[in-house]
Amino acid sequence: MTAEIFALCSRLHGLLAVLSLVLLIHPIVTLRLRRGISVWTARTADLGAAGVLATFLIGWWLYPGYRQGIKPRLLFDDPSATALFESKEHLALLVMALAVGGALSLRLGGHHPAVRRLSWIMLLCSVVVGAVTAGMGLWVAAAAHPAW
Amino acid sequence: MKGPWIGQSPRAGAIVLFAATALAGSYITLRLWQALGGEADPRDVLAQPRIPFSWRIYAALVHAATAGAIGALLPERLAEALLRHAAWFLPLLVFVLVTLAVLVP
Repeated sequence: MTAEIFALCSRLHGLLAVLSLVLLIHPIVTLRLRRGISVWTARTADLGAAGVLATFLIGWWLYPGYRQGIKPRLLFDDPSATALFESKEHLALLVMALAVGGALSLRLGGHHPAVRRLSWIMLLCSVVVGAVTAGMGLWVAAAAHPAW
Repeated sequence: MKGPWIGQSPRAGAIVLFAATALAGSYITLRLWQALGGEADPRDVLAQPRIPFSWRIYAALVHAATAGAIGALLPERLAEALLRHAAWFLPLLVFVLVTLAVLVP
């Protein structure tokens, strides 16, 4: 992988993460305020979860490049940033599991009150943890910027 | 506008809950297990033949599939009772996992 492809994909990864988290706010709000489940509530949950999944897969694909091209230098320059990056990866998996779980449970059982509440909790937790993860990603990107 | 296709099975919710919590819980547990077993020197990062991040994900996916299959065996009534407790259990579990993920990078 070239440095240009890596840089392009890592920016796409960050943009997609933010867009997906913003999309997920719609089902969180509408599931709380409305009695029924509208077409757009289900669609934004699906799209947001698909975006979070795509973000995670891009990050997983980029990880070996980070490990080879950025991590050794970053370990020398700013070891705390590499630790923060690893924590971010752990949290990203948690966010992906919660977002995909929230959207799937809404589709498969959203008309049942207990499943609807489960879906709401999963989506809410995914957005809260996702915002923390995105902040960590921004911090690491700023620390690693001169590396490649 | 025609309404979206939405199911109403508590068992489906239990399957998703089991699989998602197993995926995240297994991944974090594997990371802790690895940390307890002793860390490789970070300066040898390029010499490591396997990427621990990837094998943890593969193992967690297997565990998630197994947990989801166990969720599918639950009777609807038991699944419904379990889901009622998810309102307090799930945020607590997420908090614990986030804390561990930050404490053990």
